[in-house]
Amino acid sequence: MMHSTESEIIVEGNDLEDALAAASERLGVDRNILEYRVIDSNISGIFGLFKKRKITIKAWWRDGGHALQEAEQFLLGILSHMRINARVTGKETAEGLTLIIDGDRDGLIIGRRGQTLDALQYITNRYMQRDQTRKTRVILDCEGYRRRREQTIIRMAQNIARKVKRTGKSVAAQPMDSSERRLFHLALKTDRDLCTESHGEGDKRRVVVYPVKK
Amino acid sequence: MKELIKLIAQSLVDNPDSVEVDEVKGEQTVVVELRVAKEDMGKVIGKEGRTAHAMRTILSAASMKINKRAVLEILE
Repeated sequence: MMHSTESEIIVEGNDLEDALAAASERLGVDRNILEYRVIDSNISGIFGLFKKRKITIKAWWRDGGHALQEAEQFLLGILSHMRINARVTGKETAEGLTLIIDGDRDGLIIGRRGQTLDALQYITNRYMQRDQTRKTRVILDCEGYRRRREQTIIRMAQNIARKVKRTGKSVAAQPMDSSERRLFHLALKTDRDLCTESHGEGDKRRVVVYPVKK
Repeated sequence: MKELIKLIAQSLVDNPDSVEVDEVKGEQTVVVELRVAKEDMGKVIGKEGRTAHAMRTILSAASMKINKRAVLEILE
């Protein structure tokens, strides 16, 4: 567990934004997941002569890090039952919780085309959302796989785009999950000569790129 | 293998005490048999079988460590 165990801090700033920025830095978490209460906000100085505005807030992160710890413990438990000796570092981001796994020497955690990593991520999400009231989203990463995959998808989209323009015919990409299809659509969004649509069901859902006739 | 599936299944269902896992060891394969309470079947199978599929993927990754093929069977 690498995140700060300090869950509540008191910080001062010139204004609220300033104080929140300081709190986010001290706690090492994204500002969007901070919760706070204003403790003191006054205009100091004698009779308002030196208008030195100060604000004091108490800030903590949503859930006080409980969800993060829970997710980390769960994943570590599974990995140790898989006899994989790895470390898990978690952080809260604007998109949810990100857990980074270190120590995958033989590529076992990622698996072919990331399928093991995706399976671990899916199960961790099911566990974290087991009571329907909680919507915590967990993203797992290992050895920078997500970033590499993102670049691969963008490259793939660009290659297909070239092919569609050259031949004037539509081309279907390989099946991908929803987050990958989203990246694919985004990669070609600004190209006015093409349009993209998703077709198919479940595991077979894939993006199809069409030429736009003018 | 058995403990891995037990851990995952118990963390997903409403009745963890009803989770039963057996292991049938063959020469090259291990069959892991999972039984859960009737009302929890949906929880271990998941939408379009996605949870069961994820458990199988994790199980095969784990079984590479012991050089065997592991198969998950969810029994009623």
